[in-house]
Amino acid sequence: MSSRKVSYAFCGEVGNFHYGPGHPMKPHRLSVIHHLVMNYGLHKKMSIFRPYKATAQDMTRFHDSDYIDFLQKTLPGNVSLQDHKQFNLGDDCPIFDGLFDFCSMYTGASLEGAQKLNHNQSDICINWSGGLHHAKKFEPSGFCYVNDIVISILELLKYHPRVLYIDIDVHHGDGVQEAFYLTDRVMTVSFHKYGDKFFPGTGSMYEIGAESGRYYSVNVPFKEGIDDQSYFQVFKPVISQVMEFYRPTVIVLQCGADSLAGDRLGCFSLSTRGHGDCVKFVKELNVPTLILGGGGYTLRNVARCWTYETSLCVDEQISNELPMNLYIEFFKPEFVLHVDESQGRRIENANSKQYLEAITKHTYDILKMCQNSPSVQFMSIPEDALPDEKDRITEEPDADVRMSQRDIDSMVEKNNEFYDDENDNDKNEGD
Amino acid sequence: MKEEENETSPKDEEKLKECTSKTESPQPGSSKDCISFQNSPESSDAQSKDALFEPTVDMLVNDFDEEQTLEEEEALAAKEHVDPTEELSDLQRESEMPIEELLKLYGCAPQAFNSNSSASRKRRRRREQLSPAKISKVDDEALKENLKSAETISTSSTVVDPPVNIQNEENAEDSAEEDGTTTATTNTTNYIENQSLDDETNYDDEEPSELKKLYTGLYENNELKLLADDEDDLDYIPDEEDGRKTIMVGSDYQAVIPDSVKYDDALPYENEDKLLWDPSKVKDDDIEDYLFKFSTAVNGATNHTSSQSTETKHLRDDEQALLLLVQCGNNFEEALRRRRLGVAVPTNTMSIWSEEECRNFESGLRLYGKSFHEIQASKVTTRSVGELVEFYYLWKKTDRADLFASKARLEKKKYNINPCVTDLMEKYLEEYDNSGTNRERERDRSVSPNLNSNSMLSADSKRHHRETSSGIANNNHNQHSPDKLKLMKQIDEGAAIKTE
Repeated sequence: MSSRKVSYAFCGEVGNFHYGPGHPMKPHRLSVIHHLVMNYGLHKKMSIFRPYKATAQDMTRFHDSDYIDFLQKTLPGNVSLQDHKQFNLGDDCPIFDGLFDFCSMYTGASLEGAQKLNHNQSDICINWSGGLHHAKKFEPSGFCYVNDIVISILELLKYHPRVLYIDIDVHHGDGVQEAFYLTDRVMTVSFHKYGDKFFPGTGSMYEIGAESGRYYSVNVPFKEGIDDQSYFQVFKPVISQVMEFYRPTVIVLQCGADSLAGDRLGCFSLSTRGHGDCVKFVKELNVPTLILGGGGYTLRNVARCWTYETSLCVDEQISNELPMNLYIEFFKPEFVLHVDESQGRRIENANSKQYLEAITKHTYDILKMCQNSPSVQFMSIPEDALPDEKDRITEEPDADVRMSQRDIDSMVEKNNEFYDDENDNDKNEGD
Repeated sequence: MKEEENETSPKDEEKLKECTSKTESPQPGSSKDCISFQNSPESSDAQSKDALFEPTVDMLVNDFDEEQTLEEEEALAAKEHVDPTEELSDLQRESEMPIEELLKLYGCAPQAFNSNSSASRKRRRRREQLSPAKISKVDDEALKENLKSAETISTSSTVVDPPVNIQNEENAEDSAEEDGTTTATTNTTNYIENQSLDDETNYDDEEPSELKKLYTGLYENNELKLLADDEDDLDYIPDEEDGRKTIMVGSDYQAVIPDSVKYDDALPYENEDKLLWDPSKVKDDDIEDYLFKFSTAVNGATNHTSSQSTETKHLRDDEQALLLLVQCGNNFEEALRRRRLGVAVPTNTMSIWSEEECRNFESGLRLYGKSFHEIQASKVTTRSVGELVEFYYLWKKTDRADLFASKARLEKKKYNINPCVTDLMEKYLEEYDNSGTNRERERDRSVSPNLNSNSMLSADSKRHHRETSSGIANNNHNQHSPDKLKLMKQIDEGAAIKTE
C-alpha cells in the first residue's frame, strides 16, 4: 500500500565499537537491530544502502576543525590532560578505540540520508546509528562526539527552505537547538524530561530562540514517568500546530529510545507502541523525513523499539513473536516485540493533566508568535518549491520575477488545480 | 510583560547582531578564550547586589510583573547613596589627582569600584536578562575595546558632558567588576555604548596614560578569573543551584547556515555507497524460488542444513544470496550459475574463533574488564577490536560466559575487591542478566553445569512456564538457526573442553 520510498542505512561494522567498561552507550545495539530488521524481512520493503563514511571535511561543516582533527588523531592512551580539559572529555565521552571510524560511519549515513531526500530518491531515510544530538561545535557532550543531525540538516538546507527537527529522546536536544538557535530556517522541537539536574540541564520552555531564530526553538519539558497517553496528548497537537504554522518542507526525527519505560538512564514510561505512535504520526504527515536513532540504553528495548518503528515506516505488520536471530537470547524470557517493561519498577507519572495542558498552551502561544514574526525565508522562498524542480533549473532564476512560469506550472500540477490551465479563468486573455 | 518584551526585542536584536558580527571570526584557540557565563547566583556572591535576575517558572507563568522588584531595587540603590553631583565632583577630583594617588586609591582598595552603584544600570541589566538571548560569550577584544574607550573617556573627563561621564564611569565599573558572573549582554551593551561614544566625540589620546596600565592590570586579573571560570565550566558540573544551563550564542556555538536554497553543483562527497538490495525490481515469489534454489545449491556443496530446511519448508532470507542477485543485475540464472561456480561472496561474518583465542579473550576480560582496546593489545592480537566487541556480545549469552561469570564471582569473594561505583552497577546488571541466563540453561545446552543455587531454584516451574508460553520461538531457535547453532556449538565445545 505504501507508495513512499524508504531507504535504510545498513552498516555491518557500526555496531562493533565499545565505549569502555561500565559505559551505558552500547553501539552493539545497532547490530541487534539490523539482525531483527533482516529477520523480520523488512529489508525487502525498502532499499538498503551501505552508507558513505563521512570525512573530516564533512564534519567541519559544523564542527571546529581543531576538534575534528583531535578526534581523528587521538587514540586511547595518548590523550593528554590538556586535551581532556580543552575538549571536555571524561567519563561520558571517553576516547575509545575506533572513535573516529564510529563517528564517520554514523555521520556519513545521516548525511547520505539527507542527500537522498534532497535528490528525491527517497521519502523516508532511516539511520538508526545517527541521532547524536548533544555534540557541540567545539566539544563532545553526553556520549555524542560529532553532531550528525546538524550536519545533515545543513545538507538539507541546501534544498529546503524550512527544516523541522523533532526530538523525542528523553534528553533535551541541546546540540541541535544551539546550532540553529539564531535561525528561522530550522525549527527545533524537543520533548524531554526537564528538571532535577537531568542531563543536559537545558530545555526549559522559555528557551525559544534568539534573533531571527526567536520563536523557532520549541521546548516541551515533561516530568518523569510520562505514559503513552499523556505523551501523545501533547505530542500530537504540538506537532500539528508546528506543521500548520511553520510548514516545513522536510522533517528530521530523532527517535531516542531512552524515553521508553525501563531504560537504564531514562525515566519515562513509554511503551514501544507509544513511542512508535509518534513516529507513525510524523510519517503520516507526508513530508520527506530523515529518521535517526539517538539515546537508548537498555539494549533489548532499543532493538525492539526501532525494529517496530522500521516496520511502521514501511507499513508492514510484523508479528509480536520475534523471529529467530543471532541475538535471540537478549530477548528472554518473552521473546516478543512488545513487552510491558514498566512492570516491577513503575515510575509514577508526575505530569498532572493541568501541567500537560499548560505546557501545550504555552507552546501554542509561542507558535503563534512564530507565525506573526516576519521571516525573510517566508517571503523569498516560493511556498511549494520542491527539490526535484530545483534540480531542473539550469540557469539562475530571474530575481525580478516573483514566480517563474515553471514554478507556476508545477504548482498547478501539484495542487490538483480545479482549472484546466493557468489562463482558464482569465477573462482578459485571448479576447 | 509580553508586550514589554516585544518592545525591547528589536533593540536587543540589533545589539546582538552587532555583537555577533564582532565575534564572527573566531581566532585560533578562541574556544579556550571564550567565556561561558553561567547565571549561577552562587558564583556571584562577591557582588550579590548585582545578582542576576532569573525569572522563575511561576513568575513567567503568572505573568509576574517585576515592577515591584524594580521599586525595591531603586529604593535600595537610593539608600546605598549617591547624589550624582557628588559623584561628579568625586570624579572631577580624581581626574586632577596625581596618578600615584589614584593608583593607591584604587589599587589598595579595589572595592571602591563597587561602591557607587546606580539603579539605572541595574535596571538595564535586568532588562537584558529578561530577553532570552543571553550572549554568553565575550570576545576579549570587545572587553579590551571597552576598557580602552572607558579609559580614554575618564582621562579626559573634564571635557565631557557630565551625563556621559557618569555613564562611562559605570562602564568602567562594569568591566572592572565583571569577573565572569555577569552575563555578557551587559558587556555588549557597554561595548556598543562606548562605540557610539567614540564615534560622537573624537578624543585626543595623546597623553600616554598611566590609567591604561592600571586598567590593563585589572583586566589581566579579570582575565585570569575568567579563565578559571572557564575551566570550571569544562568540568561540566551541573549548576548546583538547579541544574539549569543556558543555551550559548555566538560563532563558537551556532552552525553556519548555507545560503538559501541553491543547488550546489559539487556533490558533498563522491557516491561511495553500494546498493545491497533493492526490493522493487523483482517479485516476491521469484525471490522465494530463487532462495530455495540457492539454498539447495549450497546444500549440495556442504550437505549441512538441507534436511532441516526442506523438512520445515521454511525459507530464511540469505543476505548473501540477495546480494549476489543484485550483483548479477537481478538475473536469477546468472546468480545461481555463479553460486554453483562457488564464487565467493564477500561476507561480513566473523571467522571461527579458536579455543586459544577464546581463552585469551576471557583472561583478557578478567584482567581489563571491558576495555576491549587493552584486551586486543595484549591478549587477542589476532582479532580487531571490532571483532572482539562482536564476539563479546555473542559470547556473553553462552554457557561459557556463565561459567566465566561465576568463576569471577568466586574470585571476587575471595579477594573482596572493591570496584568503583559504576562498575558495581555494571556488575549488578550483568548478574541480573546472568541469573536469567541460568534459568534458560537447560533449554538448548547439553552441557549444563549448575553453578549456583540461583539456577537450581529457578530451573523448574518458571522455566517450564516460559517454554510453554513461547514454544514457537523456542522451536524456531532450534531449527532455523544454522549460524547461531554453529557459533553456539563452537563456543560450547570450548566450554565442554574446559569443564572436562
